[in-house]
Amino acid sequence: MSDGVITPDEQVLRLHLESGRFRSGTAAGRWRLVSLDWPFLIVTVTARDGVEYGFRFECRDYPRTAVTSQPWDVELNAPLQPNKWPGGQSRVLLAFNPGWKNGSCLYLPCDRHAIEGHDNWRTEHPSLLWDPDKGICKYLVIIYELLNSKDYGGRRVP
Amino acid sequence: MKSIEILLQGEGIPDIQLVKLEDGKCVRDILVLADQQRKGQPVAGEFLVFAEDEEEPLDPDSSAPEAKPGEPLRLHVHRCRKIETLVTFNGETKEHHFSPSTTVEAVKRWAAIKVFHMTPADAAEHVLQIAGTTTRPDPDTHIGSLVSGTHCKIGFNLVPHKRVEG
Repeated sequence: MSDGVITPDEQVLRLHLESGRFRSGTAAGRWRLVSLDWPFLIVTVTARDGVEYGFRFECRDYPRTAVTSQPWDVELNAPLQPNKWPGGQSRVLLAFNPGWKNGSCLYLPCDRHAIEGHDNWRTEHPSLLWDPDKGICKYLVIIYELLNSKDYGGRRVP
Repeated sequence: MKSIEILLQGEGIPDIQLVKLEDGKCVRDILVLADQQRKGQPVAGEFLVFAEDEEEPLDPDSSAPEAKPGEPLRLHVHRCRKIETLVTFNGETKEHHFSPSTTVEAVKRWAAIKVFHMTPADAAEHVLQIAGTTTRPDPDTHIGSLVSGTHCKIGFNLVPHKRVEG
């Protein structure tokens, strides 16, 4: 927002970024806040091989509406090249799929765009759905779990 | 006055609360901070302060523990000294008594690796789900946050992560 007024959705996001849950993840080295330029939030998440993957979250109408996220090149401030996306054999490959909606979002039930047309996920993956109370931390925990799973195999092309 | 950051969890305390304690305070002062964070009706009984993943409570008259530089303290306040914890995997249930400040991640490691003999890599493909629910608490949640001081018991199922598809 350019008029300097903080909207209620941005206000809630800022509160969540100052919360104990977000601080807990930061202190444990799971994730790191890079920037908030409303409505875009950039956070890095650390994988089990030490690689920090950037993600840009679009957070309009937070937390009532789920955020949507795409892998982000923090240095270039641009979408991450597909060959630099996280790779894996199964779960990771499906969740981080640059071919899905042109790489504009992650293929996860907690993602605003990915959940569209996937009502079956609401019963099949209730623990991966967006939770307005936990907000951005819920999404980050899900990404962190994938990047630290046995299935994660490093960048697609190291 | 300098202060230390505390990531506080406990009985009746929602989620993880970030609170500050002035330098030089003692463990008993942490009980006051916890009182301020606790929601719902006041409850009777003696509350204890635990450091994360430690088995024994801190002496209330001792100095507050020191945090590592740049890191917050991770503490828990609860009336239970131990939580009876049951974990079921493939129809087999195992039990252990953990302190309430034990993280869900530590309980999972105990169950998956020590009890059910998984490799750490295979353990990472599994998650604890509260028995009878679809709730999977975050790994840094203290198990005491999930139970009341009058019912010091919890059950989990150890379940595999599922692929998200179609």
